[in-house]
Amino acid sequence: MSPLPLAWLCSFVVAAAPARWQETKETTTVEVRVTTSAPGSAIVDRGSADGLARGDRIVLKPRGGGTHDGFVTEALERIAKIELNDRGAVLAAGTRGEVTVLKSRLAKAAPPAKPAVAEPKQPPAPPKAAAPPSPAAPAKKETADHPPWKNQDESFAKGMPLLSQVKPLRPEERAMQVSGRAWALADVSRTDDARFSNSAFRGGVDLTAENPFGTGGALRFDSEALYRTEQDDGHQLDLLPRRLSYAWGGTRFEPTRLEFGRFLQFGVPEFGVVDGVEWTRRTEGGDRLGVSAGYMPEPDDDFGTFEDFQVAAYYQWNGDDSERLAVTTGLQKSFHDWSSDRDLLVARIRRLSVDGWDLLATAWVDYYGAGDHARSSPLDLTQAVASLARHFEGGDSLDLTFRHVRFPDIDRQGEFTPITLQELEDNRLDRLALSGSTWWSDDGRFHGQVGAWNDEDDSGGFGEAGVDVPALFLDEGRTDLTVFVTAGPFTSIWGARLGYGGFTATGRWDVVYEISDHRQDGFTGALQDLVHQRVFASRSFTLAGGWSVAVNAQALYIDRDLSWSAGAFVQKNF
Amino acid sequence: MLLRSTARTRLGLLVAAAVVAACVVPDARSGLRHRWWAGLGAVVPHDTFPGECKLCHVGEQWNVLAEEFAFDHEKETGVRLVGAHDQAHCLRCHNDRGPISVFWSQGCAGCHENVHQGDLGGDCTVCHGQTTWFPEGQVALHQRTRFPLTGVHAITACHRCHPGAAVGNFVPTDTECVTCHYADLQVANNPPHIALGFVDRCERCHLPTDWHQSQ
Repeated sequence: MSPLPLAWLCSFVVAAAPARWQETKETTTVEVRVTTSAPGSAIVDRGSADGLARGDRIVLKPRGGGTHDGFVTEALERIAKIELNDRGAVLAAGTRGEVTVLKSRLAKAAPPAKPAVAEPKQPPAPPKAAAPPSPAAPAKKETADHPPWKNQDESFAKGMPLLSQVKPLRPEERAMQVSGRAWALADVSRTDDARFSNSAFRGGVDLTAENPFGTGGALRFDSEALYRTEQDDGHQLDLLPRRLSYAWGGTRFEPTRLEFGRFLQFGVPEFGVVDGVEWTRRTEGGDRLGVSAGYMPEPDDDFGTFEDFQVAAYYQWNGDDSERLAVTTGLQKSFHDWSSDRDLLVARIRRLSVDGWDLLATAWVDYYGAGDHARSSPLDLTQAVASLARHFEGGDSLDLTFRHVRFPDIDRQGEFTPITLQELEDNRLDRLALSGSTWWSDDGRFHGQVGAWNDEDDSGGFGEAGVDVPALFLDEGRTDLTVFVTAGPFTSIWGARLGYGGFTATGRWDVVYEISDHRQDGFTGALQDLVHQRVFASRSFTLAGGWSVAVNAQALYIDRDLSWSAGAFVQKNF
Repeated sequence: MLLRSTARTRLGLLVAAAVVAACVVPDARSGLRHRWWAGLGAVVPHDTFPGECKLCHVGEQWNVLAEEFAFDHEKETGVRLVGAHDQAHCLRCHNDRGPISVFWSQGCAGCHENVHQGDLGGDCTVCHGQTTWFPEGQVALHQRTRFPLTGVHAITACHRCHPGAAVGNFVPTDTECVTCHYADLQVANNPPHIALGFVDRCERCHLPTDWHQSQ
């Protein structure tokens, strides 16, 4: 056998072997990247300092698949020139590759570093006072004119790439940084004869100042002004001070987190906004626990406070650091005007699968004691939200959601609509919906949704089915035709909706036309069927400099009456 | 009431002024989408990056990337950035708060606070797009509920029926007409509704387009 086929055979065997097999006690694999390329040759970003030497075999893996083989023809200290077996191949900059080199070369290539204080005996252990790796530069002065440099980077060890384990700036070491957004919104609705009209103008700011006091915390401010006019109610201006809080900790450097002020609770947002303090701690195992205390602002446009006080505690078990599986339980005890009000248990499970079903479920369970009369059972499931969803490979999806609501027997105002004692005892709502979509090809997909609800008096449901066709007229366009039916307590609806929209370089646009027949229960003749026709158009822009703009308009024609509404939204991120 | 009306007016004007100021004052970092600053924490580890620094960096200013620097996020990572995410500073997500995969794996809630306090489920995309937080398609969504928006209800402000709408509190409202129209019932005197016992089941006579259009 001639030497050439033998060399090819050896090359094939080496190339076909798994990387792990190639990496032995004597050799190691060095990852390289192509920086520049010409037909049949290339420059890679590793050189003799990394153990490469002339004649080394290299396997390159283009992003599009396949491999290219080659040999190192020249190895400078930091780069190497290679030649490819395929003399016509041109590799893109950034193409990854591997070279198997002898470990003995790495030992020779490592720059001599003379420790200034003491060499750690075991390099992987966090050195307390190791010298930075540097070229051998003889120190001319034995004594420094400044305090000796101390390495605070406990994660760096000799031999690691310089930039791979840089010491992160601790939050308290960072310069103060303010980020957030300011936004404004206008909504106007009118009927053509001006019998009905309402308008709303809103504007707000949401600011986060990181490390404003040099302690590493974050100061957050979120507020909104809401001005609205209504034909029959005049006008009203509200200020919604949603948040003004200071949070400290909760970073990877500090497992304890403390937040005080007005804020949405961090551990269990189901407990709501508080004017108070919350303390949480992350355990070594990755779980979290916390407690909070404070007044509860009413969740309406008054944000009245100092009437409801709450204390709460929670524990969250996490399956791992990514928190793909988390189970949370929390208890909240509230007082209305310092009289015992609500005993609430919140239980939540979240399972986020890499390739499977996602589950998110939360239950609000109220405990009723001797002073509560609206419930016969001491434990009552007041609210439940559950969602089971899966996104399949190829874009198909399936989503099952369930919701249950009862009005709780509480004194607190604003959380639920005011109701009578009879409604408190009887009212409930259960709703189940199944939605899904499937792509029949790259040309489009079917989508549909069916659902049913049941409350203390009635039952009803809805269903819709449609087709969604991308790129029908425009490459970035999307056409959707949906038919739908709804059975409500007073009205039954059937109709169709045609939508066309798409993405542009600056945002998105949509146009929707909908026609539906609303059959009124109990009516006859011309009043039985009200035909709705609705045209809706929207355009959103995402612009340079953090600007976002969205506008929309809608015209609604019902039973010889025309009404219209228009809205605009502008936001600046900074 | 948390504040008196006059104080509210002043504070409202203050917020409005802040909004205007924030919109008018130029952003010091405008256009420097890839610029690093200390507030974003340490740079991400570079050990898997190309060794040729000039592919990304300019001169000796390590915190400024080349003007022509481009990164096809979808091609490189398999994740397409849409809307506001495509315009965001890279280091808002890729910083030392942890691997982005940890936050991304939790969906929207991995990065965004659930201001609805869990009441509306976990799928933000039902109401929100990725360009802005401004919700769209609410009329069509409402047709799936037990109270489809018929007639003038389709252009009524949300807060008229959901008192907490301004703060994202959309817990269900009772669907009986008098829940929202109690005041109308009180003044309905032709015929005198309360005297005649017409205090519920308004839909037997009235259409949702106009109280006067009854049969």
